[in-house]
Amino acid sequence: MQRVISINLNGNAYQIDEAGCDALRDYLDEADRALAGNPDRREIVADLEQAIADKCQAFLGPHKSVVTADEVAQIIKEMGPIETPAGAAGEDEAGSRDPDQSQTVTWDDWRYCPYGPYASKSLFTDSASFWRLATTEALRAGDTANTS
Amino acid sequence: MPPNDKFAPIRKGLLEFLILKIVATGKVYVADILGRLSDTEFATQEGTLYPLLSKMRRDGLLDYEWQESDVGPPRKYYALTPRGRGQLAELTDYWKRLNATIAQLGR
Repeated sequence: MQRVISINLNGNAYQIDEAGCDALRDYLDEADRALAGNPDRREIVADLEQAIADKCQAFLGPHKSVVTADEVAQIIKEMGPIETPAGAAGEDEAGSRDPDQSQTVTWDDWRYCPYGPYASKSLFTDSASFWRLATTEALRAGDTANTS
Repeated sequence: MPPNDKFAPIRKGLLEFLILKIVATGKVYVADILGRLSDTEFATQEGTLYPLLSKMRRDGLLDYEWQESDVGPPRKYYALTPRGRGQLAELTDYWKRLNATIAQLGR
């Protein structure tokens, strides 16, 4: 017998296996960490929650009311890791929530605690860096084609 | 053939350019963008796309409006701003020049 947990994803209630709920919580916590310092963090997390809710809905029907852990794993795989583009962070203070808006939060408050300095996963700090690398890679590809 | 990881940084850097091109075709929502990219080597997931769209909106390149949906909650439909159209024209021009340079050096 599996324990089922009701969760709220961007205003929609879903029933999920306990293991699936843990996996989903880990994913959204990781999203929160990756977006720490991003001024649009709450909006992006809400978008992610809505996308997850849409995917959960696809697994439900008249005779199926619970999303299983395997289905949650598939959803998380489809969502992919949170990648923060260069220049997307550092414009607000991590964890600077408006306490008046706490009623709109869909997960535990501790999700919004600061997690330390923001670390961008992006390879590029600005567009010039990208174009420099793009040009170098393209020239390298041309050299390889010419010499082979 | 799976996309070559060696070129992953180039694909990643070009994603913003491609999103500008897709959004330039009309008002689109996230599923449209993911669908257009899904059959290409630029296939992208929500975890990448949402933060990038958010940054592009904050940079003034695109904006969105909510529209009701017949099959679920309201959706965000994205459109280019004048600044986004300018950026797309600039990138398109630069890309052409870059291609010409590469072609010339490869002769």
